[in-house]
Order: sequence, then structure tokens, then C-alpha cells
Amino acid sequence: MNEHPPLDDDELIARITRALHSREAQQPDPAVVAARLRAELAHPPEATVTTLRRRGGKLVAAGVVTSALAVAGAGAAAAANPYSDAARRFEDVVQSVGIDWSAMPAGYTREQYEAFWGAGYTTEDVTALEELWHTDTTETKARAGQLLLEGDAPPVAPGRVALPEQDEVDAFWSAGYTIEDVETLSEVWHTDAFETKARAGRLILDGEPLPLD
Amino acid sequence: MSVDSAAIPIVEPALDDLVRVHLAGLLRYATVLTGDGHTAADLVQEVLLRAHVRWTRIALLERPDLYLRRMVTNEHLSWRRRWHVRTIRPAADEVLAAHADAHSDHADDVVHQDAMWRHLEALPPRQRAVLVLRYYEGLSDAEISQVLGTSPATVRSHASRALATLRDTDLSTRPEQ
Repeated sequence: MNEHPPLDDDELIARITRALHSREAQQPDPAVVAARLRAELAHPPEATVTTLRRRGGKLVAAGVVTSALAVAGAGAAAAANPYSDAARRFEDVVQSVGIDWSAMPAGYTREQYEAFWGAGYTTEDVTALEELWHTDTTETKARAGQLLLEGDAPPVAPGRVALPEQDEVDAFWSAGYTIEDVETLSEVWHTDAFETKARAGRLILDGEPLPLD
Repeated sequence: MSVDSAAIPIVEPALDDLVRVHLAGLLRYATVLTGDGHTAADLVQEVLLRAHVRWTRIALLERPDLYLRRMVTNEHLSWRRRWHVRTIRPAADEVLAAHADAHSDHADDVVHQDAMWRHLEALPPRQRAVLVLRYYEGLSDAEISQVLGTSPATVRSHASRALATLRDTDLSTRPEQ
């Protein structure tokens, strides 16, 4: 039996909205993701993040060292979102005054993060390494990043992991089909989006027509 | 050494357009949709790499923003299935610690928001996506129907069921794991 007091819809919606907004703090820094995107597309990858760190460290240095309270607050904000530009700046500043502290998750350094993504690895590679090493996502990226920093090669090369049926999915997109086509085919075949793309891609590779139009 | 933004290489105009106009909004949406910044970064990266290839076509659409959200949403739902709902939940305790200051009212708020978030996480994925699009992104039901590739009536049905579930739940505690 439920003994909690009933909520009216306005209050319920307000609480939902607040809970959703509470997750914003974890948003990754667009500059970091943009750098990763550019690294994926440019060969060889460029470590663009370094320039931002240097600039950021200079920008915030004076403000933080004058106030212990500001350091505590900035540290909390950096911990809430270790990928943010503010977190990067904060790390630079505390480390420049001799404090060994990082906003990154325990056991995962920013250098490892940048080495890993900068080498051109994909999320599918992460999954493959996780299965190989029986590690969680953070530890996987940390370990692979450390190997790269030490000049060793992780056992999975960047971008070498293809999903099962990845060739089919690639063939589907390369043929110029759209999400609308995926949904039309999903309704025809009663399949989910991934299965639809794989099945359609198989037909394309076999030179068969798709049941569209 | 010169350290200005000009040092960042320009890869292609299409990518610049995507990054400048859409990246921040998509990351916010993906973060709230998945509840995790790491996953959001990976997910948006994958979507934009794909969108970038077809950007000349997507840019001609009336609402490329909705189309990109559709790609993110589909990718999220697809990843959940392919990865068997990988349990990446690194931030709950960190977020609590980060917010745990001397103001107990604020700390209570954080606890309540975290409990509510766990109940939202427990909803079926499409129902949760509707709530995110409606109450976080502020989209109309017609716009949400474009994102989810369904009808406005189905959107209303998802929203109604989600609200009914939450209304019938003790929101002061976390759901059973």
C-alpha cells in the first residue's frame, strides 16, 4: 500500500523538471568533444586540448589562489564535471601551486584520457578492450591511455573494432538512406532500428532492392 | 607560445557548422537523456560523425535540430539494447559530495532530485525520452513526435503513462534496485 502523500500534477512536473536539470552538471565540455571529433576526422589526430589548458590556467590563476573558499567551490564544481573546461583550468591552477589533485575519476588521469581519445579510439574499441581485460569503462580507458603514454600499443588498434554487421550498417548509410527509411522499414519488418539497418545493408550488399516506395 | 583558438585545425566547414550550432545543445540533451556525461560524449560523438557525412542533406531539413535529436535518441535506445543496458553510474555519489555544503536544505534538495532521477531512470526508455524532451528540452508534443518518429497521440500516451507511474510512486526514496 502506498502511504506517500499524493502530488498534484504541477508539483510532480516541477520535481521532474528539477531532477532533469540536476543532471546538467555532468555535461561534458563541448570543446573537448569537438576536439575528439576533429581528432577522429583529421589524420594524424591533433592534440588540440593542450592550447586551451594553457590559456585557461593563466586566466583563472590569480582568482583562485587568493581565496581558500573559492578553491573549495571550484574543486566541487570540477569534481561534478571532470570534463569541463573549468575543471581543466582548476586542475592546472592547483597543480601549479603544488597540489596534486585532479577532477578526473580515481585512477584515470587527464593525460590518459587525452592520449586515449587522441589516438583515434572509438567507443566500440573501448567495449572490445573491456571484454579483453574484464575492466570497467573508466579503468579500460585509463589502462589503454597509460600504455600509449608509455609508448606501448594496446591490444586493440584504434578504430579496428567493427560491430557485428557493421559492414551492412555502413553500406546502408553509404547508399544514402535516412532515418525515415529506417523507420519505414522497421514497420514493414517489425524490427528495431539496428536490426533494420543490418538487414537492409545485407540486401544492398547482395544487390537486392529494399521494399521502399 | 601563441595560445589562441586559431591553433585548432579547421577540418571541414560541415563539422564547424555542426559544432558551432548544435554540439552544446546535443550534449546537454544527451547528458540528461542518459544521465551520464561520459556516455553522452561518446554517443554525441558517434552521431555527429555520422551526421557530418550527410550534413548537406540534413541541413536542408526544416528542423535539423530535431533531426539530430532523433539520431541521438535512436542511438541511445539502440545502445541500450546492444550493450544490454550498461550500468555506467559513476556520478551519483560524486554529485552528492560535490553539492554537500553546509546548507542542509540544499542537501535535501539534492537527495530528493537524486531519488526522482532514479525513478525516471526506471521508466521504460521511450517514456523517459518523452519526459526529457517535454520537460527539459521544452518541445511540443508535435515536435517530440518528430524526434521519436511517432504520432503526437503516442507521445501523449507515453507521457501520460510515465506521469501515472510516478504519481503512484513514493518519490522520497530511491526505487528498488
